[in-house]
Amino acid sequence: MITCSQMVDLLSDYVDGYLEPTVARQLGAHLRGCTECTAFLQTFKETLALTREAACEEMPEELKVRLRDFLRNNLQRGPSRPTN
Amino acid sequence: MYRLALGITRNSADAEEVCQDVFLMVLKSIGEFEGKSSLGTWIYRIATNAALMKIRGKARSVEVPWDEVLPRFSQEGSHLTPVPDWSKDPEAALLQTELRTVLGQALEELPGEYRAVVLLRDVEGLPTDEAANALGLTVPALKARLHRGRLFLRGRLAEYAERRGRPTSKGAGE
Repeated sequence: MITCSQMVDLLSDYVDGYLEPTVARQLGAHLRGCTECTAFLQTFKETLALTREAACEEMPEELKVRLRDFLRNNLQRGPSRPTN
Repeated sequence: MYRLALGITRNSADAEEVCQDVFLMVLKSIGEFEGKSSLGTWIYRIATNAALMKIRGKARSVEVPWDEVLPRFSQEGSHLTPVPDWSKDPEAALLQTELRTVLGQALEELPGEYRAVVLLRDVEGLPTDEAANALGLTVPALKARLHRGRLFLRGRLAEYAERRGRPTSKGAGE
């Protein structure tokens, strides 16, 4: 019998598909009987979806140009190591 | 790479510098690539380390309030408070815009090492073993860090959605 606390501990493995089938079935059974955990699972999945969208910033065009110029200048200059 | 660098540093000027350093380093040391991991993982490793180095000196001294944000349970292991399902809010479009802002702030609150894990797995979509390889972590360590980071982000979003006062809990009344 899985508790809500154990369900939350297993949640990442569950959504990532890493749970053993037996454990996944136990977790599914818990979810069917627990509205709190069902809501937790839905909002957990929504968090992952928002994270994927929120960080989808591509490199701006002017930065691409600056980067290309930077590389061209530095690579022509020879084998010095980049500064950190 | 820019997306990852920006995600970790949270600063466009720092992200640009990271990209410059990483591209240069990759182009100059491609001959040292031994093929022990995929080329992509190797580049991710260089980029992640460079971005983490960039923020290391700027790290905040504020402790992450894990206990305040992570879910709490009774001794029997049940949720201590009702769990509203804000994922199906009737005003989803408006709420989602606000939640993206909250999420950005929550990502910023996470320590860089946690943010890097979340970004590599949930944004860049690296498989667990490759993300662990890129960060020099064991798979169990990466999974633990990822789960804690995801719970923290969810917790901050839940706080906001609940403060906003909608929707009412679907689960609590049943």
